Amino acid sequence: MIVDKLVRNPGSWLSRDEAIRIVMSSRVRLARNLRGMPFPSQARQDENESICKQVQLACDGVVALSSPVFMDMGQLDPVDKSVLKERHLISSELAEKGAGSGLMLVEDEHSAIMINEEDHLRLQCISPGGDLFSVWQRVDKVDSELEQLLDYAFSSRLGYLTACPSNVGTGLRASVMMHLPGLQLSGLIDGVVRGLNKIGLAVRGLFGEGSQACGNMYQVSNQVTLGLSEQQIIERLASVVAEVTQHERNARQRLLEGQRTLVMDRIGRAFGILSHAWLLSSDEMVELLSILRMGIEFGLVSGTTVPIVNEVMLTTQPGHLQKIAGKALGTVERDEMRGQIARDRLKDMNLRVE
Amino acid sequence: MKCELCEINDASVHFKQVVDGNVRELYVCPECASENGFDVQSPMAMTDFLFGLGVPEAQPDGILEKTCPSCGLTLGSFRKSTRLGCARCYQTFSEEIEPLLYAMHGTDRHSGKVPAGEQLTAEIVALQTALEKAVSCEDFEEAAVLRDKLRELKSDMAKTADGEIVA
Repeated sequence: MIVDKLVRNPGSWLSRDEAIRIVMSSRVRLARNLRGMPFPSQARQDENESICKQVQLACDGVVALSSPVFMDMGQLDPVDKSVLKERHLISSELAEKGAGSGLMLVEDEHSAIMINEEDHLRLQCISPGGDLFSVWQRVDKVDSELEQLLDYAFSSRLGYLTACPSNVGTGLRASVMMHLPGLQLSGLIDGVVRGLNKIGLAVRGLFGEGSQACGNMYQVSNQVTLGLSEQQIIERLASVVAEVTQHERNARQRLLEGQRTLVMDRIGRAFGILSHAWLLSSDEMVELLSILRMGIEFGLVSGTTVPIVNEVMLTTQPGHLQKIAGKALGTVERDEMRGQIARDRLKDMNLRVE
Repeated sequence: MKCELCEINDASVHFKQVVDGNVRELYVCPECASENGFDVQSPMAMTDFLFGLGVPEAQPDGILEKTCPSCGLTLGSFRKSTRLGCARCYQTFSEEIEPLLYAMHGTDRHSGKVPAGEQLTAEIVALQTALEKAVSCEDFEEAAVLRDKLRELKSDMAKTADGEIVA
């Protein structure tokens, strides 16, 4: 079972190198529907099942998707669904569905296609780092192959027709996950979020729509999908992301120069709790790991690495913990297991005291 | 930033409304947003709020509600769920969708990728739009050139396909 394999690996879309990654990952998704078929919400069960089969069959013929695996939402158990959600491979909306909807997944997790979520197809490509343009090229390639095998609902005036008019046109949503502890600690984050909203970009938390910002991680994405070309959408987002990245760098530099004590205190506390706590809630864990990550990037924490922090952050999410434990766990048991993983995986870290 | 309504939670929802030419902005938390009837999950809820589309119009007795002939979606359920039922709904509810498209995207014209099989159709539509513009600007020389190109493309299309032209 592929989920059993996934849970043991850090997400391949999370960085594995040591570079400072203010942009943690970049993702582009395309919404597509089949011509002549009702959208998933209005389709009968047998229609949804037939669409699901058609899309599966087409995906198997796409060279740009190397041996994709199909997962039927009607057969996955809730823990497996949580694992896929925590790895950003499916949405909550898809997780709530049953037979007649599913996920086509390439094992490296760089490409995934949700079938019969809000639209018949949601193609997604994701990569570590901020190279949105190459992520777009990858998903475009999959899409161009698929359109040879499937007949998409398309109008020359409105573009790709989607269940929600907010996606019509290109059907493209590009988003980057940014780690912005410097702006947060400097009290500048609200202004930045407001500025991004003003220029028509959506800012969301770690788990997308409806989720709160936690661990200083923000998902920034385009909202306009009609009237601009795919390249224009990507270029606009990329240029704003470059600006925010620079703001974050400046904020970090100012913190190190002007408020070193505050920075050391925050990192020291994160270090202390992560190495000595027995119970850690999911939210607290993510917050502490964010500060620890900043400490590593500042060169103030040694003996551990950003990839290890990424791995711990992912594997201590509720679904992953239960999958690893092989059984359902209550809140306290999960908190205990989280503390244990932190003490174990981060045991070699050291604080550089000056 | 704190929510401007409860002043307790962090604000993560941003509303913007134009009233008599003045822009009103509101930053609220998801709880207050949903208490006030705005579905944070739905991008359309915000435009409903801005344009008063969320309030269903009273249906006079005996008049049937607008319904999509292809998938059976009613205008009421579109307003409620903010989701369309099929491609045909874009025609059925065009009156309601048009202002939404302008509010969300500032336009109602696609200018991105076109599936390979649709490229000829897309070129024809682009030429038709340019032709209309040329005529309305009384640039008849340009219009004649465009008309000839259009004629050529349409005859290509008739030769290649069985003639299915999708608007």
